[in-house]
Amino acid sequence: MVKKMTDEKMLDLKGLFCPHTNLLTIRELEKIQVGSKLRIEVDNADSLKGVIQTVKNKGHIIIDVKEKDQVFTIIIQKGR
Amino acid sequence: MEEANSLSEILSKDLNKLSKAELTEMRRNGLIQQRDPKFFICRLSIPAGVITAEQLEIICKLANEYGNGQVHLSTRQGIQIPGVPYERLSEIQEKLKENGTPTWGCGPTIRNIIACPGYPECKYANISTRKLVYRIKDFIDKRKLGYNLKGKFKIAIAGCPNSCANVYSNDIGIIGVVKPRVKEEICNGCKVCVAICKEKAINIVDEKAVIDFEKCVCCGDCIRLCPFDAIEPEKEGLTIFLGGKQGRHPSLAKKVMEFADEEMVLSIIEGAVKIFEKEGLADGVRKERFGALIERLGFDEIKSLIYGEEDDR
Repeated sequence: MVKKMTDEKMLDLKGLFCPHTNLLTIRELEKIQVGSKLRIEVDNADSLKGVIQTVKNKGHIIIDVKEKDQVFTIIIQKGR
Repeated sequence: MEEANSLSEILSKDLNKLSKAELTEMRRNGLIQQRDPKFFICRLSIPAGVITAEQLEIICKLANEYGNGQVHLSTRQGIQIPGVPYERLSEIQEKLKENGTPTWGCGPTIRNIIACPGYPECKYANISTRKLVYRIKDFIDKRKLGYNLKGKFKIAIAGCPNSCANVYSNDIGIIGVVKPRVKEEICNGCKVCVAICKEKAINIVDEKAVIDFEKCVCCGDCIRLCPFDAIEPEKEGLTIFLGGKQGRHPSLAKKVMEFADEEMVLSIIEGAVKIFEKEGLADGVRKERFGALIERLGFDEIKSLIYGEEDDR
């Protein structure tokens, strides 16, 4: 599920739902260093809401969000 | 039969000599006669349904000591102690008052004000519902509002349009709302708000979010969830609803004002209660609710009466 892409990690959460998506995101962010990036893909609004809420509350930065065919790709920079 | 005035005078009388008016006065003070007339339920006033754990412990002790050992959680976020014998009422009443949870609120009176948890506990809340409840309670007590009502009067407060506190079925319902505004210089059209808006009120036009205010209910979700903080609050306030009820013939409250401030809420409560005191009908069996009064006089007439009350002050 997790593979290396240059300096950013990639987490495919398609087909998964909250709170699974939140927990995997938090766990992945714990593994990387402050300033590093994590790319997440989610495919439903509920997971999107949960991930964004969690990431914002934990003090990380959302650098970019793109949507294509109902799949949201979120790039997060670890804030602290 | 001589009518006693204060509650302590009433409670010093013999149970069999109490008049109907005196029993009503007891009900107003939260002492409700049970089916077995020797026993009473003590209904406690707990605004917003929040007390400390210490207060709760004392209530439990009193329920064991004076009542039948049960504690009833009421539908209006209150607590009731059933099975208290008449002769022990004045004692438990004093102890409950000392505990900061006085008995209050049955019969023709303003009932316990209910609220959802609100800010800061709830992630959806736009307002601190408890603070507003305490302010309204204080206002009602200071002005002695609702002492001459003919029927009951209920107030509920919810922190957002999800309305967890059932504001639409109360005589006055209040909802905390926030109107969003898109900061076009920051918005990059990422579509997160489009996906998370429950009302489907947001569209992307030329890579910018555009909010359809015909659909928007001002819940504030998009403001909190925009990844780039590109949606800001334009204005915050309280939506006020009047005349909802449940019971035998339920009906929903109607919106009377949007984006009101707390002062406006207080004056609308005062106006509505005074109109209800003056115009409400009751014949001993049938008691008109505020919603029925609105239907009888017309919503516009009620509105002008409420605003008229304000002008008088």
